[in-house]
Formats: sequence, C-alpha cells, structure tokens
Amino acid sequence: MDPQYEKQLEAAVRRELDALGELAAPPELAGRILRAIHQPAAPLPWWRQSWVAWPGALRLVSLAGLFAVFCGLCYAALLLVQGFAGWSQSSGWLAQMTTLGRVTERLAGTVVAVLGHPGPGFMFAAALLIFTVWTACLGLLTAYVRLVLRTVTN
Amino acid sequence: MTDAQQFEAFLHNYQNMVYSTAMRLTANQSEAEDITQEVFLRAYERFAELQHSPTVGGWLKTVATNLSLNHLSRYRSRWSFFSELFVSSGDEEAAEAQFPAADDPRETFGDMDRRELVEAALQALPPAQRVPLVLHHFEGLRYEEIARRLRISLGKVKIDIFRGREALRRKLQLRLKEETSDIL
Repeated sequence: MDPQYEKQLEAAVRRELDALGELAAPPELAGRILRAIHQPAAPLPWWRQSWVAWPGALRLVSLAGLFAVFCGLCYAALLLVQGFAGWSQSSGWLAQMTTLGRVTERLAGTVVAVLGHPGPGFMFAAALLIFTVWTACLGLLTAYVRLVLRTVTN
Repeated sequence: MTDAQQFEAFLHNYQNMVYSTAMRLTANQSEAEDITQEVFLRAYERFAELQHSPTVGGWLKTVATNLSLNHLSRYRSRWSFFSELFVSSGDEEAAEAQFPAADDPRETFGDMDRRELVEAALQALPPAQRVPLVLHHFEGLRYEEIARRLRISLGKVKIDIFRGREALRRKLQLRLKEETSDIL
C-alpha cells in the first residue's frame, strides 16, 4: 500500500465521516425505554417457573403422580435385580463358560446378600440414591411440563 | 424536577448519541434500538451517580460500544471468518473482490442528501470493514486498541480499515487529489 495514497484516502474519508454528526433515534424509542423502566416485567406463567413456584393444587397432583411413577420404578428395579440374581444362580452353564459370567454371578450374589442384611453404609447409600432419583424425577417432570406447555401455547 | 423527569431529560439528551454508536456498529435498526434500551436501563440503575458526572457521555458511549461489540461477536461471529479468508489469501485480486463496483452513488442510493448517502454507504460496508472503521473514526480508538477489542491482529485492522475507506471512496466517488490539495 502506498503511504501517500493511504493518507489521501484517510483524509477524504475522514472529511465525509466528520460531517455526519449523530443519527436521530426513532421518535418512539424514548417512550419504549421509559415504559421498560417504569413497568415491571410481566410475571412468567407458572409452567415456566421452578416447581416450587407452581400453584399448590398442581404441586399436589404432580407429587402424587411422581410418587406413583417413582414407586413403579423402584419396584421394577427390585424385580429386575431379584430376577437377574435368580437367573444367574440357576444358569450354571454361564458361570462355567466365561469369566464374565462368574463375575456377574458373584456380583449378583453380593447384591442379594446385601439386600438381605442391610448395614448402615448401605442404608445411607440407598437413601442418597433414592433422593437423587427423586430430585431427578422432579426435575424431569418440570422440564417435561414446560416443554409440553410451551409447544401447546406456541 | 422529579427524578423521573430528570431521567427523561437525560434520555432525550443522550439517546441520539447512544443510538448512533449502536446503529453504526451493528448497521441494524432493531438491534441498535435494543442496545440503546439496554444502555439506558443500565444508566437508570446508576442514575444517582451518573446524572452529575462530567464523564457520563463517555460512560454511555463505552457501554453502547461494548454492548454492540458483544452483540456482534455473539450473533455474527461469521464476519471475521469471511474477512480472514481475504487476509490469508494475501493477493490483491482477492482484496479487490471485496470492493464494490465504482457505480454512481445517486443510482445506488436514490435521492438522498449527502449525509444520508455517506451513512448508507457506511452501513452497506461488510461488518469486517465497517466495525474497525467506525471504532477508529467515531469512537477515536487507536488501531492497537481496535485489534485488542476485536481480538484480531494489528495488520488485519489496518487492512480492513483501508478496504473500508477504499470501498467508501468508490461508492461516494471521492476525489483524492482535490482532498489532498485541500488539506495541504
């Protein structure tokens, strides 16, 4: 780039830009800004708020539904564990054929033994697990309701 | 005068300046209006300390510039990429490809007056050229500061500003020799 040409170009453009001054803001902009400042924001609909802010009746209904789903999940998990333990013990061919089978058999046996004689550590871990699953279910329920209602209202 | 009236007067005094900054950087009216609103919402929160400050104009300009640049980097990250393509190629032919044709400005922009014509030509520039040019000419930033703010190299800032000026010269059919004799 030629420095002399650059200087000439800069001077020419600067002269044009310096003559511009300020742009006029749209006439309605000041009113819009003042309204935004003085009017409190419209509250969000209940389904876009967190679960604790939902109406009381909806919270009760959702809790009851969630409790039923949660109990169903726990029962299904228990059945699955028991069924798997029984299956791995009865199918001796699996244990004889692979190492994986032996490990699985021992693991299932341990689970059954622990379930039969729960200690304090197990109780604590189980309570923690239940709490985690419970809060996860609650979060999923809130997200699901929000998603469904947003789709419906749009 | 109540606080609300004072703020309204403050708003009317500075809205054109804030809007101009946002509009020239974003080249989009609705985005510029949103940014202007955001600037004054922030100013309202600090109005007690701002209203008697001698540097309130600078504060508003800085906030408007920062919000505009944030907006551009958030929603238009592609512009630097496209500009980078031309810089990396390095040849003059590629640089020429960005310049608009030397058309008749009256033909392009209709019956605007000179200021409207220049404003329209400025806003028609690609963001990669317009943003550094506006930061340099209107916000008074040095090339090094522009490079830091836009996170690009100093060389790229110089090239983009040169290209922007060259595009304006072509669009507006500026005569450099006459300008040179005027300034000498």
